[in-house]
Formats: sequence, structure tokens, C-alpha cells
Amino acid sequence: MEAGKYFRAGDRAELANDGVDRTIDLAPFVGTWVNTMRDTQGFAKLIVSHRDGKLFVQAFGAAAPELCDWGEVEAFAFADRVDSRKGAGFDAHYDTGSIEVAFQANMNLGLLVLLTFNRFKDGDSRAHYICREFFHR
Amino acid sequence: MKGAQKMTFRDFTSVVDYRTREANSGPSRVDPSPFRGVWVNTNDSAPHRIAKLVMSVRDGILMVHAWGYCTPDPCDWGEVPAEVFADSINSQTAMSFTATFDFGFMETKLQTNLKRGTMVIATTNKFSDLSGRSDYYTREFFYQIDDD
Repeated sequence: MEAGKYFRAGDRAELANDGVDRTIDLAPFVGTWVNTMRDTQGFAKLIVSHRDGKLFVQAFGAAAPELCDWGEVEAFAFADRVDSRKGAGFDAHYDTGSIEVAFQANMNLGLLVLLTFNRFKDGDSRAHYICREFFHR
Repeated sequence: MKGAQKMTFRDFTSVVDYRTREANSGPSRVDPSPFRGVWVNTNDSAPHRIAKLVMSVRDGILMVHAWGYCTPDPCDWGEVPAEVFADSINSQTAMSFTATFDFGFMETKLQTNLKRGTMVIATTNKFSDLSGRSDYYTREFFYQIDDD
């Protein structure tokens, strides 16, 4: 595989070939995030943590009388540029067996903005759908 | 964990997923036509932008052809199929799509949504070539132009 190729001018390898450590800073994501809509019917809470340099997310769906714990999955962090280590967003993926949910999160003005892509499996009559929610610490 | 019940595997993840009479039997068919056409980036100064998208529908599948900003000519990313999403389980109108471009040295995923005539595209870009480049995220905005 040839190193240094690009398909956008901002991806040129020479922008990042200075030997600087670009391990992405996970700190902006870490914490307990609560949905800004108290009566949400989607995700009420996210716990984002890191261990051994890896990022993890634990999601809690709105349910009564207690929140529904989706368990913890690994998340993958992204910087804001090829030459940056500033954490700008992450993605993660849940698979319940009958539904797949892809998380795509980004930070904006102190909020965590979560877009979920919900796919029903096996020819389900329900449409695949997206949902956008906002969380504060 | 106190205050939460462990997820039981079932066919819904929240109350908005409950089946209703509007969600009839048979596979869902979300209409991808709102995306059909030519879309250009609102920001012509970002060096890591997608410059243009041409989207078409073939055999009911949304196809995405993208060009990255490069000089002197745009970089042609080629065309890939997309998966469309509605805004609710009962809707048949596409509000979003996802698509993946695999360049070998980098994988770029597009995750989009429509908002008031604007298409918002988030990309996640993962490098596999050990070039030292950071995996990175972008959020870009596009508007539709006439395709002639």
C-alpha cells in the first residue's frame, strides 16, 4: 500500500509527517452526558470513559421505571484535521440482534451532538430512521 | 448499575420503535428521491472538503458520486451505493443516507441528514497507511444546484 495518497487537498501526508505524536485527546468526550430533553423517548444518558487508550460508551435508553442499560461498547475517536490531536467526534455501534444502531457523535459548543442511524433487520416493516439528540454534562 | 435495568434483547430500543398500524407488513421502502441531483459545498475555502456530489437512483438504490477538493482538478472518488433512512419508523421519505468510500489507504464514511433544504454531511476518515495522519471528523453543508 502506498503511503501518503490523498483524495482531498487537506489530507496531504506532508501536513502530518513531522514526527509529532498525534494520539487523539479523548478528554473532551469523557464524562456523564445527559439528554437536554428531559422527556426524551430516545437515549437519556451516555457514560463515556477511556481505558488503556481506548474510548468506550455506555448508553441508557429512556424507560420506566428505570433507564434501559444498553451495555458498554468501544467507540472510535476522530480529530478535527489530519494534523491535529484535538478530539472532535467519535462513532460506535450497537447490535441488539434485531436492530443495529450506529452512533455518530460530535462536540459543539460544550454539547455532545448524537446522531443515531437505526436499522431494523430481516425485512422488518419499520423504516430505518435517524434521530438527533443533544447532551450536556 | 443502580438506577438502570440491563438491556434485554428485543425488537425495539425505545418507545418510538414500537410497531404501529402505519408500519404495515412487508419490508420498508424509503423513497430516496429527495437526494437525487447535484449538491455543492457551501464552504469553498476548506481544504478537506468534499467539493461536489452527484446522486442518482438506480433500481431503487441511491447512488452517490463524490469529488474531493483538489487542485488543479477535483479528485474523483467514484460512485458507491448508499443506504437511506427516514425520520421515523412510519415514514417513507428519506431524510438521511450513509455511504462508505474505501480508498485502500483511507476509509471515509458519509453520514448525512437533510435540514431545511440543506444537506449536512458528517464524515469520519480513518487512515490505514501509517502515514502519521490523524483519523478525523468533518461536518459540511451542501446545497442543491441545477444539474444541466
